[in-house]
Amino acid sequence: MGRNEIRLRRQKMSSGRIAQHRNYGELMVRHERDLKIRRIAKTFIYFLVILFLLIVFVIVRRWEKQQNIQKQNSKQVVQTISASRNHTSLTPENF
Amino acid sequence: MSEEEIRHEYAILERSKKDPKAFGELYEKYFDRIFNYVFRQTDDEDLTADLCSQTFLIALKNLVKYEFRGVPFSAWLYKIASNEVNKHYRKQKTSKVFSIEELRIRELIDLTYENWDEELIQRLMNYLKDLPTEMLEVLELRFFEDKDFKEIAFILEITESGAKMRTYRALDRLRKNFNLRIKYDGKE
Repeated sequence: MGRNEIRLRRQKMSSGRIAQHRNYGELMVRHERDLKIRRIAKTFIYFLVILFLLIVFVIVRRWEKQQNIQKQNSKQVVQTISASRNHTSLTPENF
Repeated sequence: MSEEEIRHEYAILERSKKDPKAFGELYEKYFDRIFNYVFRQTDDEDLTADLCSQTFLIALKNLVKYEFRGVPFSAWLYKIASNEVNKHYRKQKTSKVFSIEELRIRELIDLTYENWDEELIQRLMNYLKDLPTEMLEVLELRFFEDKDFKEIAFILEITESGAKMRTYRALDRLRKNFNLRIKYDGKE
């Protein structure tokens, strides 16, 4: 079998027959529809990006909050320990 | 194509970027040519109509990106059409069809023989079947679409010298095999 299929046509396609397939109105409708789909897709992508950023922001805020709570807790622990140490050093047996 | 015509087309294109309805003029002007070009590579009327419509749709969509590169606007349409046809064959995984008009072959070839007989046609068809697709594409654009080498190079995304080389080689083989006198520029 050859690389290509060669066919011989006795006649050229008539312009009247080609004209049956020519329809600019339909092409415009398809173009408008494509534009609309593209616009919707663009909006959806923007929405997804914003949503993603928002989720990242919320996660970061929560993490920061947790970090602050942990810091405060560890501070409190240190303060209690040092306070208890000070208290034991002031008992009458130590004088 | 004269410089004035190119400028006129460019003005339409600039208008079309803002108002797609203006593109209708170019659609009407080039539809038949693109249709024939695609039909020659498919031999299927409905498929050709689909690919043709897709070609113009892509052109409309990408009109904003269009830049003048020294070739007429039609070359850009041919390039899109050629890509669409190739995409179709890649998807279908079938061998490419070249449906050529006998009348045009008669016009292009000066037979050394007196008569154009069926046997010779059959031999020619068999010979063309084995020509590489790239050579057939160049021959089609050169002799059926009357494109110059610069346009052929743009449409097929090859160099101008590459387009010339392919045409020379294809014609040389035809001359040797069939003892035919084929007009190189198709206008002789």
